[in-house]
Amino acid sequence: MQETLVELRKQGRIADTLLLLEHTPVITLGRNADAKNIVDSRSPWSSVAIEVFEIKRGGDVTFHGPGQLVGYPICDLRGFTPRVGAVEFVRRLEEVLIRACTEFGIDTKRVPGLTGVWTNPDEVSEKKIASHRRPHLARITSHGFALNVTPDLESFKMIVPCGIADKAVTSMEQEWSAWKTRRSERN
Amino acid sequence: MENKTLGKKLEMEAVSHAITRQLAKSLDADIVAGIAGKSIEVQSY
Repeated sequence: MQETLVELRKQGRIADTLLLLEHTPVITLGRNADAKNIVDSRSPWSSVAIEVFEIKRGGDVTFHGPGQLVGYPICDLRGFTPRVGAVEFVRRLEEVLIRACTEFGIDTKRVPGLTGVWTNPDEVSEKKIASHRRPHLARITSHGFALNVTPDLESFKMIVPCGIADKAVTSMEQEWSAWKTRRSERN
Repeated sequence: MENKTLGKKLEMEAVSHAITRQLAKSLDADIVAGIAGKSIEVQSY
């Protein structure tokens, strides 16, 4: 479906489009993935192994599943004034995710040297709340992002997310719970 | 899940709207969002 929409956008038959969806549980391996970063592909909810797919994107291993909002912006970069390049588009996408989290009272940021959107104001133990694919130089964007809204975070224990072993994964739900705890401790 | 202090519900649809609105604003463009099988249209502002 995504490829069809990219083609339609290329032909100018549809407007800039944002697909938003939840995947069924799946582990994906990018072109640069290290298979060792799959710790255990058995589902935490059952003994059934979750499907593992090798896909065209760059990057390492990722988990997608219910409670995670996945978005695929299908935009014609030539249509923006002033012009927006692929790298700038991804930078804006990060900013969009940061601002969307802010709407829900969650402070997030970029971390120098790492892709994605990260929580935690204390500058020490950042946790990843959203990830995105690396930009590629195409006129029509199709690289996606994934924002953890209410996923079961146990799922991410099946993998070393994005191959980064020393950083945890979080969700908007978990950050809300932490926010409520901090607030009740203050009062 | 509801945060009464913020007056927000943490629902996929609400987050989807927030992202679409912010993307339209960031690009200063009209973005058509297809959310989980049903279509909605979001205008830029």
